[in-house]
Amino acid sequence: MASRLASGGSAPAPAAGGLRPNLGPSVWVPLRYLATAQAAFLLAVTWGLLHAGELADHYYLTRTFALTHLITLGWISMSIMGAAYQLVPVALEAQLYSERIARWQYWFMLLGVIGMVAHFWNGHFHGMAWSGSLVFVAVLLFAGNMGATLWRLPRWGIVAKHAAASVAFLLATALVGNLMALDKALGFWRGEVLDILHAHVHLAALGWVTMMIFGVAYRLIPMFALSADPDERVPTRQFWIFTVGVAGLYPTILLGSRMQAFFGALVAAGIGLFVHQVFRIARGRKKPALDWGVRTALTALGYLVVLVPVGLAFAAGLVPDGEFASRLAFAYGFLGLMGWASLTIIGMMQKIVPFLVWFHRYSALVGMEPVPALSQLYSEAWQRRGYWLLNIGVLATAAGLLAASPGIIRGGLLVLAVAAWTFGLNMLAIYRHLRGRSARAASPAPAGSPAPKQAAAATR
Amino acid sequence: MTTETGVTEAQALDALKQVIDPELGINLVDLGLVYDVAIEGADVHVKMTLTTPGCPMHDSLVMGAERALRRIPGVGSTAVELVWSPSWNPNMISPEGIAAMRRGWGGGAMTAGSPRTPAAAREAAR
Repeated sequence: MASRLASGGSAPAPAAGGLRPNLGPSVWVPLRYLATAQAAFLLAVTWGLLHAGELADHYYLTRTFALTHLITLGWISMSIMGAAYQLVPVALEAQLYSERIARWQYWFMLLGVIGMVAHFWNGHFHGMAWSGSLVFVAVLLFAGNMGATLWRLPRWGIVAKHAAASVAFLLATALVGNLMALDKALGFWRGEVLDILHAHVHLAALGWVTMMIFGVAYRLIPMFALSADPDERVPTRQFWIFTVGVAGLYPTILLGSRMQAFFGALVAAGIGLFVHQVFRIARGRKKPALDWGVRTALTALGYLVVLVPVGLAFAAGLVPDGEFASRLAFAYGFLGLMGWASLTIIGMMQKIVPFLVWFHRYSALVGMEPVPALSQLYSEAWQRRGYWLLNIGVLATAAGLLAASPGIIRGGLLVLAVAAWTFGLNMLAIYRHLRGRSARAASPAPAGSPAPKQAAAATR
Repeated sequence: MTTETGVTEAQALDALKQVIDPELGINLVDLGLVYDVAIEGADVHVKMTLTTPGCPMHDSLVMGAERALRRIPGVGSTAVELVWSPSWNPNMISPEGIAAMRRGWGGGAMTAGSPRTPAAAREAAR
């Protein structure tokens, strides 16, 4: 909602008379990350469709790594960084330490991701070193910027704790990833390659991605559902259990230790507490019907819940090594990236991007002339269709990966590609308002203006 | 209260109802953001809040509220003061606001309905 999300673009108001200065950065800071992430998502899904046959093989292939890093760095990490620059200052009620660093970081990240994906695709591991270093610099800049923002807070609430842990795990993931890239060129790391890979993936997916989603969700879900903010006692317990679980899971997977089952159980307990909290928030909501953005993000939780027993089964050594274990691991990773992380991000983008564009284009006109509602910037029907297509595509592709069936994988990715492009075109419709004509033709109207639906039609 | 210039609290509230949250489609009054409307002569002083203190939308909403007040015929000076106590919570949304959300965007925002008073918003905060 307008009065709850962050914004930018206008000069801060004087902090007198009870007014507080704007806390969010310029809208162009998060928008450049979010738009680039959306482009990476469309590219990844289309790329996956064109090379669907290769996905029926084992996942330890450089071309699959290229696609995976396009998704994890280009789509997921770019999205989270952009969203964090927008939301964390608002959620923490603190100004971002430096917009300039955020702008510079974008270019390091962009060039680094392009380099990494290209070198994975070509199998040139020496090139991985410099491109991985660029990503590492981007991560350092992000961590420094967020760290300095967090450092100035008088008190760390539940959002700050999650954000700080998430950034710390991101640093660890990037460091380990760079060592893995160097190892490909220099061959110094003695260990089981799949254990090294699995540990890296869990550190990134749980420590960086899931941790940040949990933290921000504690603020955003009550906002979007119009619920009271949760009591921090249970979320604080959840935070510590989850953090210890993730921190312990990495070395135990790396070393093939049986203790990974224990730390896996802690991670599962943390996830269980989070899901319980989200349901409590959703049950106490004032908003009669949730929009498709929030529904998409909540559906993502379903994928996370499904992944927990699979992860625990791997951690406890209940899945015997062999072809089935490898197919299950591939489907597990896919559901984590495209089900849990991607649905959460798509859902949140459907809330954040319209707001940013609306704020840039129309906020100064409030009270002067009719301005459109956020829901008039995009097509809700496309959101609804995209939601169903996305879920069908994710589930079908996961089934295809499990069955090692190129036909089912191709069919699933085709549906997923249609869903992704539906999402992309809806985003494009929103971005068109950045350069759109005057808001005079749009709605909500003081007396005498056209009804909302008529005004919406006039703006298309 | 009717002043000698004819500006009333109802007029001020009606003016504030023209400023609408762009996502929820609920106006400032039905969203429970308006805590107090004081009228002295032709001058209007409004105390309002936002849904969260970190909200950077205060510029547009406060300016929007001021602009809406200035449109009242015969109004003198207008002032919109942002306050943070009591903190806003979703229970401050009026039944009309909830109904507007049920109907979809804008449905209730354009109609007067039974006015949600600032006193009722304060009551919901307790």
